[in-house]
Amino acid sequence: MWFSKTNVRKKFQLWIEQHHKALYRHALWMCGEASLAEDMVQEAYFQAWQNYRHLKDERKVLAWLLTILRRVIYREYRHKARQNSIQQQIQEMGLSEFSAVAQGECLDVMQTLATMNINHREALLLHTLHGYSYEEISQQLHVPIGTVMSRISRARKILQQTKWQEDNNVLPFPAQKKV
Amino acid sequence: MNPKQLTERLKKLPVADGLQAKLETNWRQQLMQTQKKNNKSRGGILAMAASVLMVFAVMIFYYQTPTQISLAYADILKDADLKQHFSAEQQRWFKQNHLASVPTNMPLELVKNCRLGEQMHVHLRVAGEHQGKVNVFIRKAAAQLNDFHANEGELRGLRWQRFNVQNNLQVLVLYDENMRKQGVNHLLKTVFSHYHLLQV
Repeated sequence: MWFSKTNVRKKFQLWIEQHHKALYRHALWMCGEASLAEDMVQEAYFQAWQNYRHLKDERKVLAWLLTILRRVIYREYRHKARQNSIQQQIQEMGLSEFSAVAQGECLDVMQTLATMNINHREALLLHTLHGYSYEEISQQLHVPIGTVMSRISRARKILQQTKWQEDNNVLPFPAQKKV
Repeated sequence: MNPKQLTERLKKLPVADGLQAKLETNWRQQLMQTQKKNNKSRGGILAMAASVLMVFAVMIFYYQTPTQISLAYADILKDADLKQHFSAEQQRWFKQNHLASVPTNMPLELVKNCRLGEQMHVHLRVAGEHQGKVNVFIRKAAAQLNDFHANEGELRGLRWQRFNVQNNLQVLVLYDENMRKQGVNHLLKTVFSHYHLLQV
């Protein structure tokens, strides 16, 4: 695709506006660390700007950005595989502004995702968070569709085995009084 | 938890307020740095291209046959069949400028005055001991500053050289392929034995 410079800049700004949240959430669910997720999203946009000429179809820009982000995440993952205090990370994210219920829900999910294999986690996020079909995920990850299905299936099994907060009606933080 | 609930929870994860602004600021900085780099490299490329062109131009100019040589070549052709010996005036000129006679084993076929451009020369044509011919053009002149031409070369089958003889005489030598370099050197050393030969 051939872009004019001004046109590309306008589009890129739009891509930041439209997709930064999706990318950030994906990075954060993948790594469990807010500042790291932010760095990785910045790195992904940096590389996207260096390589925007490689984008073949503008309609698939989010998938393209996620592909770049994936490389950044995997590189980071290879360097440091760690399990940090999830609760501490969530506090750093400033979730204290949100309700205790939301905090508890995120903590639950974060803890559960942390127990998953990174490939399973990613497949689950692509399907559940971003809404991609198995076929689309298969194309993005360059793995057979059967592999995608089995990864998501395993991820779901782990989720099923998790005792969720709502089941126990126990909140990790004191509930706020409803006004 | 059903998939819908999971999706809701995944999407509920809050994003820091300033993230978009941060990303845009970083991207603009990246733009500026790229522009600076491009300007630098563009400038660098242009400068390099200009240097290369200049080097080519100098090389082309340097290796061009000097005008004097071209004129000498034309004079050689013009008087190829002419035979002439020293005039009294030419002998006096030779003596005044401390020039010796050519070696006895190299027949002197032609001695004449000629004009190469605006400059008067004495033109000698000497036959080699066995074969070949050498043409020597001598003029009285102070050594000039380097005119950025080569001091030797080839022009249509004739090898040529040019010399300064001390600060006094300028010499052009043109010889055909049948003439050995040793014979040319022997001739020049004999005629200019009084001097130490210098390149132009």
